[in-house]
Amino acid sequence: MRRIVCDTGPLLHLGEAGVRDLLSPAGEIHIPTAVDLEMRGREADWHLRRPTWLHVTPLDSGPALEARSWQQAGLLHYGEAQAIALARQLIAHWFLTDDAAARLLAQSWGLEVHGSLGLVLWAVATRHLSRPEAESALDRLARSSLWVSPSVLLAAKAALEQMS
Amino acid sequence: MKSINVDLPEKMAEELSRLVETGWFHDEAEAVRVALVEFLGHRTAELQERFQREDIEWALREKPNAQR
Repeated sequence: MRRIVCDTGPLLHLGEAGVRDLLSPAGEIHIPTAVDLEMRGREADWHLRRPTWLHVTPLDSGPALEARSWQQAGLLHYGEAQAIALARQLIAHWFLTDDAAARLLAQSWGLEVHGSLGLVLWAVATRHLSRPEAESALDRLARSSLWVSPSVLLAAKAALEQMS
Repeated sequence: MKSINVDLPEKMAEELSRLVETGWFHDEAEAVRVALVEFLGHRTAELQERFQREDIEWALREKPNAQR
């Protein structure tokens, strides 16, 4: 099964778009404790509603030090730093983030990285989501706290056309 | 992972070594990665859009894979 590590962004943005459960068929989803704490800060009832398919996986000491150094260097927030370190620890197949700096750093470590918008389209490509559902999800994603430009939204909808 | 050899001016190389010796970074490679990420981080919106477009292309490539 595909091992996936996610930072706070996709959990939050897919949640705002009402399609957080799309993460589940993608693989085994892991988050570090810092991301779990960030989600508790964002959603008051997170500790009650945290999806059962989501694994909160602690970092070993080496990766934890690595994450702390990235945060102290001012590169990343702690959740993103811990998530990249966890992806390296688990040798994850995918790392999911909507943060450009986190994506760059993760890619520099050789990780395959995708974001919320990509995951919605992937779900259509792999038949976990219908095209009408995806169109609505993309519209909601564009209205969420994730930045999606009008031209990217158009390109994403054009991709849906090509998939059908 | 891709490796790149870069010639640096002597003063810049000395400064890089000093940053490692004083504990800011584990090694020179990490310092260079951090500097590059910081530089690119200033172009966040442009990068965000580029990454989203890359994901659109990725999903389109996944379609035939899913049908196999």
